[in-house]
Amino acid sequence: MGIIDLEHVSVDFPDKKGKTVQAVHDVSLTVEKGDIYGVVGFSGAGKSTLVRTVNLLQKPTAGNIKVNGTDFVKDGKQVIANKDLQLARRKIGMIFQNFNLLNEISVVDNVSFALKHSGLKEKEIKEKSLKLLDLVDLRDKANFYPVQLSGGQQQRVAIARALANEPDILISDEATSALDPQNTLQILTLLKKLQKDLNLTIVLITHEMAAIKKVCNKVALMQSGQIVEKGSLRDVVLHPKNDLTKSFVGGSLEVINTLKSLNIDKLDNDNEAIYQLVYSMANVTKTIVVDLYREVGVEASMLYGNVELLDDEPIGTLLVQVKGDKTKQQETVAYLRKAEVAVTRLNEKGDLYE
Amino acid sequence: MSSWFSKVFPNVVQLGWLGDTGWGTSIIQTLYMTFWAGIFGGILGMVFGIVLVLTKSDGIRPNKFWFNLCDKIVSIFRAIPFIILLAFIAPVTQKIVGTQIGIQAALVPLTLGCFPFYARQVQVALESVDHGKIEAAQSLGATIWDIIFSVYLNEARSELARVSTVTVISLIGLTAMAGAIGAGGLGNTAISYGYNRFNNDVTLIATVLVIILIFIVQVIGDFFANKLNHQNR
Repeated sequence: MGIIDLEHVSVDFPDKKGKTVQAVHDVSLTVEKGDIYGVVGFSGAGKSTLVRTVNLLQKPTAGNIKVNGTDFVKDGKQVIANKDLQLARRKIGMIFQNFNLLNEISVVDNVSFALKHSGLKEKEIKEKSLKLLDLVDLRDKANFYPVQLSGGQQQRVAIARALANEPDILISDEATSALDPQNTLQILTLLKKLQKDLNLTIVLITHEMAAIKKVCNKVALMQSGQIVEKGSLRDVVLHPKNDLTKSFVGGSLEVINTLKSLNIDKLDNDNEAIYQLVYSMANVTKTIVVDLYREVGVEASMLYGNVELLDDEPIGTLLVQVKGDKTKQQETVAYLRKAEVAVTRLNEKGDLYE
Repeated sequence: MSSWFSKVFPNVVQLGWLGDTGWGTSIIQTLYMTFWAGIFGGILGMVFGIVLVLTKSDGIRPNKFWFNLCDKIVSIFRAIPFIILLAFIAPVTQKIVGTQIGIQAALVPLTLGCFPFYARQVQVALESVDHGKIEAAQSLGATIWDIIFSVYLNEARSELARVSTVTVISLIGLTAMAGAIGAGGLGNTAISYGYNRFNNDVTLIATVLVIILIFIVQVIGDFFANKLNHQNR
C-alpha cells in the first residue's frame, strides 16, 4: 500500500453535445512514500485530470482513491466529509503551471494565507512564512507583490506556500512548463532538494521527458486517458515496451526537433532506416556504430548523439541512419536488441515508423 | 459678479439656497438618496452577485435552484423601467417605510432599481478572477469564506471599485426620477422648478450640478480602482 493509491479511476466529462468524454479511463497507480513520481504525456492525455483526483479538485466518476491511509473515494463516491477533506488537503501541497498566487497581497501574505487555519498566532504565522521564504531563497522579496517577481521566483513562492502546512505530498502540475530552461532547472533542483530534506513524496506532471529524467525515480506514461507504461525510470528508459514510450524516452522532443530541422528527403524505406538508440553506457560498448559495420555489415551515419545522467548512471541516446536492405535492417535491429539497446525506428519526420 | 449672476440666472437665485425649494436642500436630498440606496442596493447586489458566482454550474458550490432563483430575480428587476418600478412597488414601500411619498419612500425603489444592475456587475467582476487561484486556495484547504473574502473579493477589488463607481453614477441618474414621488433632489428641481415653469436657467444649473457630482464620483472611483490594483499595470 502506497501513500497514494488510485484504483481503476475514471473521469468522464460531458461535452457540449451531451456525450461523455473520457478524460481518464480505468487508471491504477500507486505512489510509495518518498517517490518522485513523474507522469508524462502529450497535452490532452489526461495527466492533469488524473492527479487532480488525488486532492479531489477533480471528482472521479469511478474508482477508489486512498491518500495517506484515508479513503477519499470508493466506487466513484466521495466518502470523506468535506470538512475532513479540507484538513486532508492541507497535507497535500500543490503547485501549478500559472503559479496561481494571489496578486493583490504581498509575497509573505501569500504564504501566510495557507497558515490561516494552522492555529498559530499572527506573529508566529509571519515568522513561519518568512522561514518558508528562506527555504526557497526569497526572504528579501517578502514585501513585494507577485507581479514584481519573475516567473521562476513566483513559482518558488508558490512552493513555499504549498509547503506551509508541512504536507507529506507535493503535486506539481506542469510547474515548469511556463518557465525558461534556466528557471526550470532551478525549480527541479529545488524540488529534488526539498524532497530529501523534508521527506516529501512528489507527483510531477509534465510533457517534458527531460524534466522527469532530472528528478524522478519512477515514471508513468499517459496517452488518451490511460497509462500505457509505468515503472522505475531506469526500466522505462532502457527497456520501454510501448512504442510511444520508446519515442518519448530518448531525447524525445530534442530528437524529433533535430530530425525536423535536418529536413531529410523521404526515405527509401526498403533500403534505409532511421533508428533511435537508447542504452546504458555501462553495459553497452561505446563503439556501437563501428560494431554495427563490423558485425552486421551496415553503414550507420550519425544524426544526433547525447549522453545524460539518470540517477548518476550515464545513458546514451543516438540517432543513426542505416543503409541496407530488409534483411540487413532486421539483422541490425536484432543485433542491437541483443546488445541491450532500446531501438525505435522513426521516419524522416521524427514520428514512429509504421 | 453676484449682480451679473442674478441678471443672467434670475430664477436660479429666486429658489434660494435653503428652504423647501433651495439648491442646498436638493443637493443634500440627492446625496442622501444616493448614499443610502447605494448602501442598501450595494449590499443586496453584492450578496446576489456572490451567490450567482458560487452556485453557477462551474462554481465552487453549484446549486441549480439558488442560481436560477437569483438569476431570475435579477433579470426581472432589471427589465422593469425605473419610473414604472416607482409606482409598481408603492404598496411594498408603504409596508416597509410607512409612506408612499417623500425621500424615505424613494429609498425602496431606488434600492430595488440599482441592486440588480450591481449584482450583474459584481458577477462579471468576480468571474474575472482566474479559476486557478480558486483551485490553489482549495488545494491549501481554504474554507468557503476564505475563498469568498480572500480570493474572490480581494483579488477582484480593483474591478469591484470600478463597477461600484459605474453603479453609483447610474444610481444618481435614478434619483433624478425619484422626484416623481416627491423625493426632491436635483432632478426634481430641474423638472418641477425648471422645465415645468419654463425656467430654463434652473434646468441648466441643475444639470451642471448633476454633471459635477458624477464627475467627482468618477474621479474618486478611478483613484481607488488604480490604488487597489497590483496585478496589471
